[in-house]
Amino acid sequence: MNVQEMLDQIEALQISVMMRESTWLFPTVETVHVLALVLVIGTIARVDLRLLSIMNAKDSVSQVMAGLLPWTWGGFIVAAISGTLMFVSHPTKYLETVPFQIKLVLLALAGLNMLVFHFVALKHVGEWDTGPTPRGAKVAAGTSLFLWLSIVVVGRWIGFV
Amino acid sequence: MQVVKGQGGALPSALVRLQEGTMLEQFSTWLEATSLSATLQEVAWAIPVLQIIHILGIAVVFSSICLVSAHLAGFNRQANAAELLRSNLRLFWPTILVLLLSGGLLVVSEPGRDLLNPMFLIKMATLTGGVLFVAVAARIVERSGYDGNAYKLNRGARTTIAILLVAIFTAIIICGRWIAYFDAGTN
Repeated sequence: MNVQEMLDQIEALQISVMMRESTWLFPTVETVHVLALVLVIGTIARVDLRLLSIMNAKDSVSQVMAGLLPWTWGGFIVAAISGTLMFVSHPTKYLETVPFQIKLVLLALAGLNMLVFHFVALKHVGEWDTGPTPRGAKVAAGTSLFLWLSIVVVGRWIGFV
Repeated sequence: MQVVKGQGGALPSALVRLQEGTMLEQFSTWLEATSLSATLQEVAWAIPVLQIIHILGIAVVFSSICLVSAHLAGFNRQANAAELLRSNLRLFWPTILVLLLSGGLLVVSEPGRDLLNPMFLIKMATLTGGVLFVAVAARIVERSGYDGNAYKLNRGARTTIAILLVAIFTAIIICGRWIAYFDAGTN
């Protein structure tokens, strides 16, 4: 089965048809996506700004992350589900859209950046939890801020295509 | 027939609504003819940039509302109550100004889309209520004081404030998103 056949099959799913034909379903799912996305951005930016010592610099990194990351993950899961539902409404059209392609790449990069941060910089967080953030963690935080800001930009761009 | 006080004396409520609607339409037409509106429409990147600033502002405000509400309701206990409230209020008020400015410019760029749209009017009414409620709720919590890391205000009142905060600001975002799905001047 080639990619186009797979996309056609997705497009023929009942949920895809419902997303296309219902007058209220797509706007509702899109609203949920926006709510989840603003929660992800609002919380992950606080973690990044703490790592960059711009915000809540006197709080320990592990405490800040414990308070914020459950929101980030919760928001991300809801955003991923609602985003997938929006995608299946017109999978071929979305995949042919440049900003959507860029958004997928940026999401993958954000995920990769987070993995590197967790398994490299955060491994020794006990050594710098309340002190100055090491350069590697600052680079990861700056990269994360840039990537998530870019995700918002291309996400808005999709709406104009 | 319900009668309400309008300009120049008692008028039937339907007539007042009609008058207000006409005024809003006239204001929208005037706003659309301003040079600022024309500039915002002509500059291709103006509206997308304003929308991005607006959505980032919403991210700051909504995450603040969720974090403070969760703490008020008894979650994330390790955070200091007074510090959490103060630091989020310090972010909240300037961001509301950014939202009013970016949102105001978006209205100027497409007045008919917003000013004649029932969703926009509901959003503005809810936003006004929400902002006032934040001011009142913050005062209630701060005046009741803190006991070390915790609040002195009883849990029932705190949970009620938390639920109302999240509900009001969720409603504002829902209305904001649904402006695009309501045709201007209908319903």
